[in-house]
Amino acid sequence: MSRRNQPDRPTGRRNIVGPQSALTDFLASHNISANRIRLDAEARRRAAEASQEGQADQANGDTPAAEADHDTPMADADSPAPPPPTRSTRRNETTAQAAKRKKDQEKAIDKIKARKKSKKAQADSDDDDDPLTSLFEAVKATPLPGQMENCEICSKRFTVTPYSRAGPNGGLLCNPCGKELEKDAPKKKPAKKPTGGPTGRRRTVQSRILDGTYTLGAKSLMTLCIKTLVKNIDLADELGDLPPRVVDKIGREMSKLRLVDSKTLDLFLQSSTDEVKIYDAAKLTSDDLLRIFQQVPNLKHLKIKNAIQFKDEVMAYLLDRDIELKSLYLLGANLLSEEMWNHFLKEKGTSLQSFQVYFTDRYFGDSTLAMLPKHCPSLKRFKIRHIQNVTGAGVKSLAKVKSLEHLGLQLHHTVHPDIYVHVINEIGANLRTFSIQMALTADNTVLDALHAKCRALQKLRINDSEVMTDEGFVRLFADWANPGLRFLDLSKCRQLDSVRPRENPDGVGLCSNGFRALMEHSGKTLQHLNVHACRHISREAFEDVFGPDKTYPNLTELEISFCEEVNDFIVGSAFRSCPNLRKMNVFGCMKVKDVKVPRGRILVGVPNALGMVIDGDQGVSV
Amino acid sequence: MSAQNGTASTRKYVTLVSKEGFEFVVLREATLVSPAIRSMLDPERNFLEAQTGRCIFQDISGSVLEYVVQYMHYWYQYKDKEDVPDMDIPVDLCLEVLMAADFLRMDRNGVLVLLLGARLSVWRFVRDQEHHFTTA
Repeated sequence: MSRRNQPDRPTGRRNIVGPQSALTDFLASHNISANRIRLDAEARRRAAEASQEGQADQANGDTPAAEADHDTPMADADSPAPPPPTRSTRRNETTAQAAKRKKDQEKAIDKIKARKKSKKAQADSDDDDDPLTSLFEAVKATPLPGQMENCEICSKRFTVTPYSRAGPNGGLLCNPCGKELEKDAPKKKPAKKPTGGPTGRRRTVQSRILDGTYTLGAKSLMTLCIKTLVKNIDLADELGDLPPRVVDKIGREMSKLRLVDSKTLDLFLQSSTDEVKIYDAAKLTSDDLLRIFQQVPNLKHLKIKNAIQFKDEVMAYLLDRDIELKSLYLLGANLLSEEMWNHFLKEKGTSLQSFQVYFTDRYFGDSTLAMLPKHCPSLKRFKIRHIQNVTGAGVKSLAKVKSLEHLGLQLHHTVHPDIYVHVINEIGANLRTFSIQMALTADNTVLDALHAKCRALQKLRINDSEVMTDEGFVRLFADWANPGLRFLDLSKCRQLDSVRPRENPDGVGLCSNGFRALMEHSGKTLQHLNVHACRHISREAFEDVFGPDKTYPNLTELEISFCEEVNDFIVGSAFRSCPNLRKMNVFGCMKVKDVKVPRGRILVGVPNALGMVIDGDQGVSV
Repeated sequence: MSAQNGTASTRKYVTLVSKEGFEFVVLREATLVSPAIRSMLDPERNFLEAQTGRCIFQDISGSVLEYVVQYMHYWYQYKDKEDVPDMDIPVDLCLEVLMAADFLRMDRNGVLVLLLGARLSVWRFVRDQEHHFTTA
């Protein structure tokens, strides 16, 4: 155990060197050892203490003056700090300096004497061994509030209050003298704001719940390290040999705090890496984005969010370089012209496997989509969201991209359901992801096409359809040859009629039978289910699906907000039927009132002031 | 010391050794936070570490391992509490501790462990979970 006291010197016995901080590396390259600096500092501190002791001894006449000149015994000649005064320097000092030094010495001696005296007094009082006496003495020394006392400075008689200040010699002061004294005293630092009070803590917890990062117990060591690192990111020169997933985590955390700028970008541009993911490029200039292609020659995967400055010149530079991207993800690259997009696909499309573009308004349109079948033979993943210029004609050309496995669309133009059917008929057999959002007009023919063609689908999302019917959903899920889905999102597939909101004679939207059929088909495999605002699922259907004999072992997230019939019993049954359920959303379920939540699970959106419940009193129920 | 009694797999404490040979005697339960150490000490796998109750880390320096051990006890102390205060990591060692955390796979907060009591079933459960996560 005592080995821990040995100084951590590089012995040369072992040549294995563990991970070092960038600062340590930098210092080492200038032939400075961080460890040495630490040791020197300790040695200096020790020496200073020793010399003070020596001076005290000298005053007592015990030791000759020379003893006081302890040099730093362990400090080395190359120590950067000035050494304590030695005799040689003393010879040169002026009389004023000598006087000052003497004064300082005397002060130090007085201090030590006072300390010794008080120690002695303490020892004496301990000696008489009578707690009552010492108590009385203490009371005598500081008069209680309400008593009269003579002021220590002006000797006037005054009433002691809890606010009476102590004088320089330990006595109490009257109010005017106290104020006077306070004026002279240096201003105290403003008290540190107490952080994370009850309100702040609650807010933090709730924000973590909504982020989906809430767990009981301590944060992981990696999370703590990353948080510390990101807080001090300006000190880091490089991230060293961290694995890509850790670098990615650091990048996410930095983007969350909007810390990615021209300076910190370099941390992510290591020449050995093949992926660059920037989650917030809002502060980067076009030149910074150019630098990505200069400094990362092996770039294969590029993801930039808020890529506002990803302009034509950046894309032109990319086209000049010998970089074959496998995946490109751009969010908000609004300044890239349509010609440049087309040019990119023509030049670099062959290697492209994943192509995701989000939030552009004018320049990414049907002509670009029409390039895909010819120029992107290996495209597997194609997702576009909030693209204003793409219409049904563009979507139709996707039917010719035979390699597609993941398709996600959210368009502003209305697309006729026949186009979806055409796409599914052509490429549905290989599709693993099919996602259409804001698909107001998508109808049962789309569902029938999915039923007929899809055999490998894992993720299905159809949002906002106002014409699909319960019958259609039953037809989709009943005897579907596709294996169970992993992810299903049918939110807002419901009837909308402001005149007769409750009646739904045609069974528009996902209703009871469709819900039963989907859980029958995919319940065992589903991890994520979203039936947000499918208002016509009945209470009986929920009770059947989450009955006592049903279990859904894989389901971890359930979103049943705005399903009117959900009540306490259904929420409790759902927690029972889904043993691994982590989070359930019940916004707008007004019949949920006072539900028991198993420990560690999260229920969000309870219609009361609390809003979120994480911790019931049912204890561990796994 | 209790580490001397009984077979290695039942002792209450295990010893973690840094590359310079600094030794840290840690509560076995607290080391469960690291899946890497957990599998090293799994009696079913019968690694040398499981037999001797000593884990030697050739890549982790003593000063870094000290913080890792400190974290283990911090984690153990707060393991099913809410509103846990964050542990301070020294800025100058941050990158190195981060590398050690990555090496020891301490990137999840090990909440799965808490839900089950029996240790052996914990190991199996976590292993299955890991398998599940990696395949998912």
